Amino acid sequence: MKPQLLRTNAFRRPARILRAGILFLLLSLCLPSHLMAQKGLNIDEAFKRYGKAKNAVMVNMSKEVLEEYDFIFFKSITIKNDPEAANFIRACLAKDEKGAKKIKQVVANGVVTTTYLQLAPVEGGNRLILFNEQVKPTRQLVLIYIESEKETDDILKPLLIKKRTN
Amino acid sequence: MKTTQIPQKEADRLLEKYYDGLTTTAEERLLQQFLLQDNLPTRYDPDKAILGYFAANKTHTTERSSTPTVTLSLRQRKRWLYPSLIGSGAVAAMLTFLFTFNYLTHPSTDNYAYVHGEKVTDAALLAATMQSSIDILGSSSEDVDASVALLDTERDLLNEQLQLFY
Repeated sequence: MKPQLLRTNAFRRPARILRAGILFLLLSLCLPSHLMAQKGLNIDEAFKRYGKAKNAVMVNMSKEVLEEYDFIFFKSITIKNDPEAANFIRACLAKDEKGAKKIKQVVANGVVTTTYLQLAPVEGGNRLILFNEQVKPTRQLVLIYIESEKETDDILKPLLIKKRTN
Repeated sequence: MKTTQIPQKEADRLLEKYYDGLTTTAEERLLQQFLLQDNLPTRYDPDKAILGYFAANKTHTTERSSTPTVTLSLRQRKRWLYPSLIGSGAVAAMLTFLFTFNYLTHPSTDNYAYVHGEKVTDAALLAATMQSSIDILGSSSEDVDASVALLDTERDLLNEQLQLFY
């Protein structure tokens, strides 16, 4: 009798651990996946550092409100008259471009003014980083991070053409 | 079989030991006898339910006492069934709550903008702010294209001038 009971008791503990493990796993799955995808990037630091600044406008949008664009996630920041921020972002981009595909880069007087990067895809889809700094008419920069299930060309074309058709 | 009733204090100790999965056959038998008593305080009702010693099963259990092997097997199954059902129900309820909470809060927490340090969550304003940052990128793309076109023109002009020397 006793061995049988001991076996029963020993069986109960792993079951509890298993149940707790499954619960933990499911809880992790409840977290929005894009939060994890963006966390690993250096530009995330730029969003954190300058997002709430007086000379900046930061936008953070998720799938529900991005139906028109068919994006999963969109985050952008525009900063005016802040060369230090521009240099910081350029440094972040230099780190993030390792392992990424450089779609477009414009260098003026030795300074990167435009960079379009295609990052390694994640489970959600393709990831793009778009950066531009212009000096005229006013000095301002824009940094955009996009996640979408669409192909890179299909993401970029509507964005860049939209202005011309407006 | 000789029956010995245990005092409530001892029953409490054994119940605690039971839930830790550390009871022996003899101790479980004592618990069974204790819980099968009439006029027990109502605080033992959950224990009765969990251990499967409801009054309805009383006769059945008593009948089974003549065949110890079968009794133990059924009892063990019941002992497993109730906590499993309660545990599974709790996990299911918790997951339903988490998914609902995640679904309901996701749009409002993930869609926002900081415009010059002020948080904005209005959908229309968010869309306008997003479009504005895309327009900046679009216009910069136009500038780059215009510069490239200008370079092409200048290169053509230079080639024409160089042709004069040949």
